[in-house]
Amino acid sequence: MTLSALILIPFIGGLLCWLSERLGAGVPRWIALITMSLVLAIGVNLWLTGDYSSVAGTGGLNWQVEEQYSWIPLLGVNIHFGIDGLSLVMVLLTGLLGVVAVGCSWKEINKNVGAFHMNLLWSLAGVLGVFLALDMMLFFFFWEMMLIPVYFLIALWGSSAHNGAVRVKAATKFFIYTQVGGLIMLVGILALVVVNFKATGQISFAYETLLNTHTLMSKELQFILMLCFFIGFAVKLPIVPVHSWLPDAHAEAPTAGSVDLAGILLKTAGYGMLRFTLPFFPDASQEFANTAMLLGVFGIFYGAFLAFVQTDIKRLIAYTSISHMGFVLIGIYSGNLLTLQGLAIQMLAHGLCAGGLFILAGQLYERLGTRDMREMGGLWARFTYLPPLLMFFAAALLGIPGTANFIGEFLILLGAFKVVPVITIIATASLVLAGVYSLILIHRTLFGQPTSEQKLADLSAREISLVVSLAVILLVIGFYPQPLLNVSVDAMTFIQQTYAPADVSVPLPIGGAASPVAP
Amino acid sequence: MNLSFETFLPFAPVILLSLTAVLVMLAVSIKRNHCVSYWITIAGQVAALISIFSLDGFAADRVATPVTDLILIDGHAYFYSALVIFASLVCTVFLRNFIESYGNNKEEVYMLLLIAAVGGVVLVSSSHMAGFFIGLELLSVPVYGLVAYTHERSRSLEAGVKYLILSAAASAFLLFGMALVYAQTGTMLFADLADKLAEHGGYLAGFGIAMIVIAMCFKLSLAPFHLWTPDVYQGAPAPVGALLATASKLAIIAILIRFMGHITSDLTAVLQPVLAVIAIVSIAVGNFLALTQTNLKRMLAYSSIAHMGYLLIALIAGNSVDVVSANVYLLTYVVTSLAAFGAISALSHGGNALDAEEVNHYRGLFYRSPALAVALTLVMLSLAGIPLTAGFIGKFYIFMTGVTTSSWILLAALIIGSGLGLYYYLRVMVALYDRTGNSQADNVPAARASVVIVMLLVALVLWLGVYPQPALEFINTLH
Repeated sequence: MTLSALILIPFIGGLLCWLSERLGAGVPRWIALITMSLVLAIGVNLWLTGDYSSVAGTGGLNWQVEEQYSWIPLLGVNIHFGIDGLSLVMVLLTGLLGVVAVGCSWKEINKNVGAFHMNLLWSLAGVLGVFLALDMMLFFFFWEMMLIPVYFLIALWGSSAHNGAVRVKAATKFFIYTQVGGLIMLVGILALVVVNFKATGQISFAYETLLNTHTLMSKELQFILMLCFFIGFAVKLPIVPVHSWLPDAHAEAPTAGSVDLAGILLKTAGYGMLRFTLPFFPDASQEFANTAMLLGVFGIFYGAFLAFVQTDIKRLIAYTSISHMGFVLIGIYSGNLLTLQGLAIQMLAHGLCAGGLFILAGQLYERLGTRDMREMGGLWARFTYLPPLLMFFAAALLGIPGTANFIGEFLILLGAFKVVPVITIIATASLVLAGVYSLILIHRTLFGQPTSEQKLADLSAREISLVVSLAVILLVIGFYPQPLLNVSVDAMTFIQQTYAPADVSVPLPIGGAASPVAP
Repeated sequence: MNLSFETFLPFAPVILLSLTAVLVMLAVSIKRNHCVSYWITIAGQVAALISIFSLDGFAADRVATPVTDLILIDGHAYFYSALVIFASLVCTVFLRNFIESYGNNKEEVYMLLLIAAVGGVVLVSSSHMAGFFIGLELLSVPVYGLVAYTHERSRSLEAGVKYLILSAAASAFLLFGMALVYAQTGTMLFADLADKLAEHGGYLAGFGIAMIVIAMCFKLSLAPFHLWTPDVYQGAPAPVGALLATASKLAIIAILIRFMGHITSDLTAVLQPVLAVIAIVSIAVGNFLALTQTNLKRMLAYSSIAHMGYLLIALIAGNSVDVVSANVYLLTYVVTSLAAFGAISALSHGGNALDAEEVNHYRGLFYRSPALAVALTLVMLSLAGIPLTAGFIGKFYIFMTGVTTSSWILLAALIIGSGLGLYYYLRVMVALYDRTGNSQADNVPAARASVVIVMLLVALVLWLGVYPQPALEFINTLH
């Protein structure tokens, strides 16, 4: 019941938020906060009670908790949830950012508070479903289900800088991009199921059944289906040719929507690639790996350059996300345990870091009424707490040692170097650009000539505690990532072994009981 | 043939509906009373529905029963009949609220509706060219009257005339096609068609069958035979639009499925690529032209063109018609469309010069009538084929058909069409929550009975989307 509860709690909580709106605007906020805290608590409990590194080294699947109910037996569709280390990391991230997203909209959202929180919680419920589903149909349901609430978040509660039409346009663009990607993926899923059905006579959408389907089909078909999955996830990640919804969506989304999008929604794509694309189509993925990594490198530079020229602070952060997702892509396709382990940390770190930055951007907007960095400048003197925090997150963004971002990027680059040295060297060079855009972010906002000497209202205790808690977590992971590495090791070993079995011979001293960490 | 009571028993739905039509006519001639006519209509249709179920229409051991040469009743015929009657029943409720405020005679509208329902049921169960034609005409002719019923509105009258001309053209095609087929094969029975075609096949019969199919394309408003659709949908009173979009299309698809099951495979092989092009063009035309519509009825008209294009995929992908996919799609489409037109009907009144058809009428509906707005939101999501709604299950089956038969081009059209479709469905959806609502529509009250029916339909949409197992099982056991 635990896993269904993880999804049902935000779903029901959302309904309660909507219904309780008439009792006052505060009620839905508290309900939402309690709901997300509960989700986080369940996640932590799953972490503490499960043993996510028990099969380390064998490369087997390690579901700590599994649930299955019959749903549409006619189509071989079941409600099937399972959690392993990778899912757990994502669930923890969702729970944490969920709490933060509710917290940061406390003052920002003042109209239709109940409906806002309903949409927020429902999108999070969808995301949790994506992370837990072990049935492809169920996965697809959640994959699509999380879009609609996000659409409403952007279209109805988005930025008031422009008129409503701009918001609606951004939201629609987001929706159409991801929906078309989703449908292409649906073709892939169905083709997989049909191939399996034709070979075995059993119609089934179960993850573990479909894992072996790639042995039943021709190389060409495998490649095409892999592309279907890849495109579906690439749109969401996003990878450069299909990324253009992201900056628009971020620019128009409310703060909580941005946190939700950058912190969690983008991660569903990384998760999907790891969980489905690689294990379903190992051969085709290897064939495709170089192309994918080149796309990744291109994205890293493209995102970084465009981030540099932005004047809108939220668009800047959005483009840095594109850049970071390039790293994620390289990590996914270089496929050794080191990069995969780094990936888990990188996704978590990016979620927390981008979340923190979007919250700070939102707070700046609340106080200044603009997100245009040309109208900022000299803010260091006008706040007490905000500038150092912004500086910390900007530093984390560029991956300074001591933050989780560093661990993630370092592991990814270290692992990838063994596989694709040239690409890795080019990607490493981009860290300079990361330094540039992070510094320009600080420079344009905090330093320079202030537009006025007047002090601005500083962060409240609520705002400080939100941002500081994110910062602390980044630091803790940055200094002591081992517990996290232990959580993801089994899941990552499984992915690594299905994807590139040849690489097993090289023991990697990274996490897990079987491979003690070098001191 | 020995005609007895037992022979006609399976035909009870048609007989009941016809009797009801006569009763309504008599009631009107004795004393005009809107309420009485309405309830007779409702009772008649409910009785017809009950008769289908009480005749064990869907029992597993049922065999197809012929009622004379013209009619063949099997599980599918009953399924479509039930859907047709269900649709017309729902339309009756919408019509009542709509026509209440209409200044002229109201009662005849039910009679026309009932006759159209009879036509639909006859059409879906016919197994003979004559039954085919009679059913089609019975279905179409009353609809001219229904479309032009509010003839004080010039658009309504115009739409009626347009529909008349189009239907006449389609009927001409159909009759000529039938004549050609008969000339070559000497049979009008569907059951003999395949054998005779194989025996005497030739260009003439092929040409005839092509003309029959074209006539069906006209009626289904598939591109390039779609030009009448937006005008007729816009001009027709909203509840009649519901009938046009559901019962009428459904009955024609049903007979097309039955007809296509009886032609030879080499003819099918010729027809398939043509129909594939028609499907792709319909998807493209429907979606592209819907993009810019600000009139909800016109938008739904174009969207129905696209939807018929999607549905055609189930009919033509592969070597034979994928009846299960088509049925699932039809079921979900009918329920969703009924709800969509129902929402328009609920806000429209026959006494007004226009229906609530502009998207602007719906701006900020959420703050005036939250239930209807939420219902319409779900309807739009279902039309767009988003999971957890019925529309997704329908589209899922079409996808399944496409993948199983490896029809990649059709699938690509389906994906692109769905992407385009989102744009206009979402636009309507978000307008419902727009606070800058305008005043012109604020004072149109929503008719309560229609709202309740719309809510029930939307509950059905959700149920089909979330837990489709019972419905799918039912459709799979049809034979």
